[in-house]
Amino acid sequence: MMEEPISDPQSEPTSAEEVAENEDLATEIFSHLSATSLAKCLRVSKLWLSIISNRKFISRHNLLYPPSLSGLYLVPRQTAQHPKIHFLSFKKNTFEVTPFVAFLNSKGFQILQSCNGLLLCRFGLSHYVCNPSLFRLRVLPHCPYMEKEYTLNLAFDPFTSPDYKVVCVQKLNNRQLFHQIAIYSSETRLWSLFQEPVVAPNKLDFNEGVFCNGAIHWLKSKSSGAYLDLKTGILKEMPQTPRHEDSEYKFKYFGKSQGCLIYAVSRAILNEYEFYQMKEDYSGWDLKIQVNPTVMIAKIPAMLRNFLQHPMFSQLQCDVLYVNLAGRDEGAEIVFSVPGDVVIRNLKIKIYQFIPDEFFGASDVTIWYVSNCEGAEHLLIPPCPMTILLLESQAEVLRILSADACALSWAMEIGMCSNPNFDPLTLSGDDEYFSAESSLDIDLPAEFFDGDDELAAGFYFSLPDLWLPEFDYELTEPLCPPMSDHDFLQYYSIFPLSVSGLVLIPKHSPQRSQFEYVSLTQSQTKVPDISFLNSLNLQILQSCIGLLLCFSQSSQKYYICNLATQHPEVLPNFVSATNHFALNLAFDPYTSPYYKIICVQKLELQKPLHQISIYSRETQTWAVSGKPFVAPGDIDFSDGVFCNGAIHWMRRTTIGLYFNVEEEILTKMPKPPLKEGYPLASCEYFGESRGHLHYVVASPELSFLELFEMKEDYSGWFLRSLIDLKSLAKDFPIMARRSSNPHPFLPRYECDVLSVVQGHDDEDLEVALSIPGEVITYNHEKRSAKKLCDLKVRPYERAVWYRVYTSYQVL
Amino acid sequence: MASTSTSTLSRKLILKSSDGEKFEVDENVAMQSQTIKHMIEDLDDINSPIPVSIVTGTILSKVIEYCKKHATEDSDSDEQLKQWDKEYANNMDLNTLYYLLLAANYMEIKGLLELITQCVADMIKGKSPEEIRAHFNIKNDFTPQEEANIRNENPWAFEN
Repeated sequence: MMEEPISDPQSEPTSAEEVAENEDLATEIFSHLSATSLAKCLRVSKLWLSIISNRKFISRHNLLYPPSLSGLYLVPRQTAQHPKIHFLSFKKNTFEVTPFVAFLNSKGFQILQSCNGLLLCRFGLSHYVCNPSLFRLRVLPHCPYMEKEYTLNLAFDPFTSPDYKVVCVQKLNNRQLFHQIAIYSSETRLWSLFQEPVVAPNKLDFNEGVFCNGAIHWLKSKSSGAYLDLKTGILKEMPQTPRHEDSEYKFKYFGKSQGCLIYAVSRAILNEYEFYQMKEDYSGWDLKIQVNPTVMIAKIPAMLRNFLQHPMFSQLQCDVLYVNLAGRDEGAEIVFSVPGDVVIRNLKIKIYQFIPDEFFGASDVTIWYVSNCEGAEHLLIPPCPMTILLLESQAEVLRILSADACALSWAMEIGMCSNPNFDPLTLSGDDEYFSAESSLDIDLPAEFFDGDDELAAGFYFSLPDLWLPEFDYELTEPLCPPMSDHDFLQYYSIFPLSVSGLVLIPKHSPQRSQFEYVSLTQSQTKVPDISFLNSLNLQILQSCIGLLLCFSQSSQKYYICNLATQHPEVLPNFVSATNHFALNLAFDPYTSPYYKIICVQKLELQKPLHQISIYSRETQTWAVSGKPFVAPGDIDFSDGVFCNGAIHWMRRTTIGLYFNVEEEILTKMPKPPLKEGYPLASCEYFGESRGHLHYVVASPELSFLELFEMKEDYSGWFLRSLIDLKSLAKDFPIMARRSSNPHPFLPRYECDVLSVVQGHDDEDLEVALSIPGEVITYNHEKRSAKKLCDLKVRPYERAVWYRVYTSYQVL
Repeated sequence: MASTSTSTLSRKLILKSSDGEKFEVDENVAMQSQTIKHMIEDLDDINSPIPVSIVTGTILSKVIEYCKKHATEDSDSDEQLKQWDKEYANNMDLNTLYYLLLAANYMEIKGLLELITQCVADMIKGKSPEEIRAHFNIKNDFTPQEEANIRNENPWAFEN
């Protein structure tokens, strides 16, 4: 019964909406969901995306679901160049081929390190930070120190921060023991380079660092080792290791568990293994565990095969792979590697568990594995901000500088789908282009998952670069029929423009949206044909005086379409952009027959720094406009309204902005006309008509809509009209069908503002409203509404919200 | 003193729903709601009905059913209580369930909130974003541009 969707058309599922929109409740619900389920919730709505991406939520989620040790990634030390990765599952107590491992192996990825559930991998010349929980790989940008002899060390602690760091240590050639350090932070996505080189104490090679307590520790032999505090950036020596002078003892293990550093040595002949734990104040080592694996010989005789071959240093064939202080039943567990088996020794329940090594038998020589690569489950890291495809044209070849998964599907479509054997990874590895700090998240083919839904939550990997075959833009016929500029302007001074209708596209529609056309003029009966948009697979992004800005999913290109002539025109790609951008259409036939495209581009993902560039149809060129500027965090630049020669961004933002396209000046808008305590979501509509900007406020508590208009001098908003929904509902009772069963938060009246239309006369103001099943227009002067038309969506169907695009008769 | 505490235990409160329905409940039952607890502290006349302004009578009776079960001293074992919770939640239509969740949030009843959010989370599990949207009737407020990006990030997740 629980899985049944709400199907009763008579009962409004308003309570569900209310729950979904209540940030507190949604947060509570999300804290019951695993990382994989949340990956889907991310894509439900902006609100949900923002809740789940919230760093506080992520920290809390990671506390609730701490990454639990699920197994070890084992890599044989002495085999071929690209040794296969084996995953030892602690849950199933067996070697397991997980899809993630299969993927790494099929591509030839190498795991360099693991840290609390994240993996640092290498593929070709590039490095990736992987989150196996979300099946996500993210490219590590290049840093100047990543050359010649260098090491990389991963630092990640989900309990203190949802971000990770990578420490790069480069050995300086000219000066012995001198090293340079750089630290990458996933939060800023930047490398910070240390100014002064450091001297390596104890001849450290800075390999296989262990991250614990906010510092990376290096210790490879019985020498004392060192650690780098990532907060202060200071490199310190660790205390002297126990048994360091005793030649009978051999270094066996260095790692961490439960916030403690563990160091192990074994004694020759007697086979005593000693495990030491670092004191909390770093003053020295305490003996924690003593184990003698001799008892295992009865089961694994091959452990003895080299024993007593050397009288002094004879050792059993038994290596320490991992020490887990909180294993089963809270007992400490030690994972040993012996010929043909992996053995887990639990010290509390005093058992030895033998897991047959499926890859190397007892007679094989190679049994050493790279230890200390733990796998973990339940891990959430802040989602990578979405990046958009960008192209750079160079010697007739296009290069992707930065893109997201969307880009690959495009890349696949134009060049690679024809080649089913195409493997994007083979294209990477050209060192020259690493510095572009580009990341290209790419989807794996669906068949990889074989219908595993949980995996489908997302599997990405990143590429530093991709080369694509030659690809030219096609410029179709011009938008406007041949007509001189003078004639064009003349025409519009004689026949002033007025909005002729509205194109409504249901937002909540699973399949290709069935658009609705609402004619606003009595005389016009002809419905503009927008089927050409469908045939070209174009999505409308914006409308501006008869022109539409569209996006083609298949070609990933932007088009400008004139509804009257039906000629889509391709927008040339622009070169300079690097990250997010939003396009806005500016067209005013009274001043020029040419449109412009205003691109607002976010310069850095983590900073609110934006840059405007303008495409002029007249010159057919892109040009950068002005200096970068800081924009309010909640502004949506893809939602601009063009009016009086300026693009206005005002909908649901604390501080609105407008950009004068001719003078190229950016100015702040007056405060939104919201009363104290009203959420920004109360902004029901923001649009323009005949040079007037309108802002409609709808609050659940009020039984009326407040229509504000911007003063001519932009000094503020004034209340233009109050639409009394209660009296409207007398004429259109369907609006109030919910009022018999009122909901505490939702508006009592079902009524969405589609458009505000200013007539010739100042008093002539009409508001197009959608109510269940029909569109009505409200006349300000008469204070009443009349029915305009029926909607295709019947009133008993679920409420539909529309994206609204204006339609004009334009030459 | 002892007599006072006995009388406190048996004290009755009257809760009044948004549609005017009145419910007489033991104080310890009502006190599971933090909101009501705070209201009582500010209340002069304990005998006047306490308004639970946004909760209807139908929902309030369900809330009280839960609180009563969880207030009884001779309570069943944890196992039994869990079973009861499960049946309680399962025997509710979705609309009621969500109203109940809103009520639990408003009345600050931790256990009930926990129970229903878990229940809702179980419903979300394994659903595609579109199914989730349909389920909650969520307005998809991504612009076509953003939606296209998100959609393409995970095309198979949208396949039905």
